[in-house]
Amino acid sequence: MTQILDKKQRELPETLPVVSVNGIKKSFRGHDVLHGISLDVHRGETVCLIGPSGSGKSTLLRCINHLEVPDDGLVLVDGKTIGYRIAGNTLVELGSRDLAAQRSAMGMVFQSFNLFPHLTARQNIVEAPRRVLRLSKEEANARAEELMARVGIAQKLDSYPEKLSGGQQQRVAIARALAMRPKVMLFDEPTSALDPEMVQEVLAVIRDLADDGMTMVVVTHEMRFAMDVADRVVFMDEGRIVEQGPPDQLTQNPSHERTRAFLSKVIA
Amino acid sequence: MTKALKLDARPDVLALKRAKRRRPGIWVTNAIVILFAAMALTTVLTNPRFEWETVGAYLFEIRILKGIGVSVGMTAVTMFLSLIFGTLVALMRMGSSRLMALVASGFIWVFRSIPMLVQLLFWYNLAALFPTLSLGIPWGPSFVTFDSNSLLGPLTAAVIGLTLHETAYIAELIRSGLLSLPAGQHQAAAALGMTPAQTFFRITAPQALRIIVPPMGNELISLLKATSLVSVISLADLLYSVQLIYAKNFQTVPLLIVAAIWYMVITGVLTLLQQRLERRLSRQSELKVKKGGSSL
Repeated sequence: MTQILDKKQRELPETLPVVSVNGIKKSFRGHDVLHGISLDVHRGETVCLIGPSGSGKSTLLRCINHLEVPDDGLVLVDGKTIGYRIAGNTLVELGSRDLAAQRSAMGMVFQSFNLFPHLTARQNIVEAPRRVLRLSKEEANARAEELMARVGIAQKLDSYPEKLSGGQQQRVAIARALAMRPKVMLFDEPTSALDPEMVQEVLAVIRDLADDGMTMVVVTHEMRFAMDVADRVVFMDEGRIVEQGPPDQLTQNPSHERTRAFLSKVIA
Repeated sequence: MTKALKLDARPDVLALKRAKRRRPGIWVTNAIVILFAAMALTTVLTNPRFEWETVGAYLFEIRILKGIGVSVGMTAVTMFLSLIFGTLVALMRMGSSRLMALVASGFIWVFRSIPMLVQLLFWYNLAALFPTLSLGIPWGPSFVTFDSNSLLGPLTAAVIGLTLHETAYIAELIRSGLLSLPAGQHQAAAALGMTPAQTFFRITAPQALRIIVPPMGNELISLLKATSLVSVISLADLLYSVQLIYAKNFQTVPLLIVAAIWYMVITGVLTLLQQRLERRLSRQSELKVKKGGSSL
């Protein structure tokens, strides 16, 4: 840990992973959800977290941007200790303002979209760039227009979320997260709440991001997508990483019985 | 026995005319209601003791109009202050400081449980408890000292009492509005790097506002009527002005009718304003879509 926090090392971003999860532990009401997880995600890498429900994938993802506060362990994003600052040999909890600034460098996409229903797609997208990054109105609008075109629904720019299909809402949510120009994108089961015919349009957008070199952590149940897009697949079970590796290795030659059992169930 | 339709009879079935079903029950209840309404109206108009001429004579009397001014003014000031303090108390109650939450809960409990009438009398008689009020360092020297009786006239006492009472109710209203929003809204705002203050003003408050407009309208109307209680501390609101007049001319009923008419008129206006606001908030989305669509 101290090695990671070493100042000289922090000044060499090339040698550091974008996201570095170190020994994260989390329990809810005495029930251990994460038993000391460590995971590095490198620049441009797409990591898919798979595993049965309740295996702690989403909790791990939410620990990365401090939506869940880990009981123990530390997350570093781009060399910054998330949720804490270092004072001497102590980690001091950050105030809400500093934490917000750290979070603005990470994009997150939720299972249930969580668009702001009182704002149009455009307003959803420009809100944080305007308020948090203090972009001018023109600049923020330009980003919104560009991103809505990129996710393929430029014509819905001034529609309210309630007028959009689930797939369109999720694509706006992705555009909203991208508008902050994040260093890493976190996807929390982005297609689980969608009707089957809309899953592909959202996955296509995520695949496009992966091809573009965006650093991403994707919690997903879409096994074919994970195998197709991921540089690395991480299989979790009962709050632990059971095994990880390139998708081919995991599917064709899993080294753990649990991985084999899980994959045989989800890959028909 | 009904005739069974054959398959080849279907085109004829589609050509049949349609008739509305008969609802004799509705005709009967309508007739009864109209009868009662007519009876009530006749009584009100023909009973000479209603003294409609007296009602007419006093309806726009200057003392009455001044009383309306006091009632409406007090309602407006109280509502304004209660919205600000109510929001603060609601945020204290929901915030991360447990002490603040406890203080807010205590405040709400105290001022919701003491009847408005008791509170008004209490604040009016505060001088009995604290003959002088002074500004200074706690337990230290004081800079200015006021005589409670001159500082806490009936109007100040009334506004303090009404505001404390209303703040407690509005705090609960605002809290319920904020709690009704899905947790995902907070998470999405937080994940975008918005601070708690930005999240409140830009994301949660505007959404909660829509939810609480109808109950808030109710609250405003209750408050308007609650101001009539200040007549017990001899503040010349609408009711007390009316009482002053009928204490002299003994036209009690006609003057109470004058007060009732004005309360109804003001409530009617407030109801219309509330409806317009609700419609504006709910139609906002559609209007904006139309505007945006035309510019594309």
